[in-house]
Amino acid sequence: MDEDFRRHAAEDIARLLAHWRTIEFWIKKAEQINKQAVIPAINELRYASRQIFNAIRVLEKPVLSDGDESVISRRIIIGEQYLFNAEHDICDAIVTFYDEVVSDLDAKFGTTAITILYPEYPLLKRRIQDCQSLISDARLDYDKRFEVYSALRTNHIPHFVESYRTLVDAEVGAKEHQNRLDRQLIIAQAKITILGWFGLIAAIAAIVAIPLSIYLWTFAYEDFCSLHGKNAVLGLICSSSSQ
Amino acid sequence: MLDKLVSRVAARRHPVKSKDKIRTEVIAHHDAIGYSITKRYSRGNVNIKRGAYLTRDDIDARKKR
Repeated sequence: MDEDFRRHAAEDIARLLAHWRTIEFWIKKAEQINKQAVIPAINELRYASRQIFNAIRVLEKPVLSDGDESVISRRIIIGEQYLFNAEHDICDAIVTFYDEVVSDLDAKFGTTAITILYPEYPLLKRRIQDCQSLISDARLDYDKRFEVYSALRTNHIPHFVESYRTLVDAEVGAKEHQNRLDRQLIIAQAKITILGWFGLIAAIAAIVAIPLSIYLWTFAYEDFCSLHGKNAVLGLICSSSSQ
Repeated sequence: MLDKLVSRVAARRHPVKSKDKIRTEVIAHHDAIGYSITKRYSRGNVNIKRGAYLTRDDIDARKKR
């Protein structure tokens, strides 16, 4: 009985360790997209390791009591649950990350601007929607979860890893273009402001110049009359009107 | 002339960002998104939710101190 339990427990632990290595591989893949987003999955993997380690530690005892067997069984079940959590967290985090990045890009630059720089952008958006539908389907039917997350990992996550660099390049290009436009706008605004000030100064000068010239004209008239006489002024006016 | 003058002033007040600098900003923004996802998906660990967890950089900084 004891040997039978040991054999079964060792098989379970070997299976969990293989699962652990698979998840670690996918975490490394997902880290190529974003290191922050996979922290929950890493934590779940850590908790699973602790459970597996404790199960192995108790299993190595020369004689196992009923309590020991119960502890090992419990550790294996909890460890497996943590591994599932880690597996799901990788996919959920990457899909959510992409969804937020894409929403942000659409809000800032618009789909068309990004599509010019990254022609497969609409297909990427479509893929994100498909992944979200798969994840919500998995919530509806618990038995489907394993298949769904396996499909997400093998069919979609590698594509997300590959397209991340292109998406970043597209965002950098769009932002560069946006900065160029902003700069041109600032220059145009500065030119309008400067021309506006020139116009204002010219208008003030014109407003001041007209009454000033009328005022000065009276002095000029008097000076002319004193020099040439009043008749000369009238003759000047008549000759200018006859011409 | 006005065009050149305004462009020169604008270049001084609003320097053109290099492609590398824009890329750094984009990656930092993506990291912030990733961090918000971390807070959302972390189960139970309050320190992680509060952002009070150690990273390798913190440990290196402690060693230097």
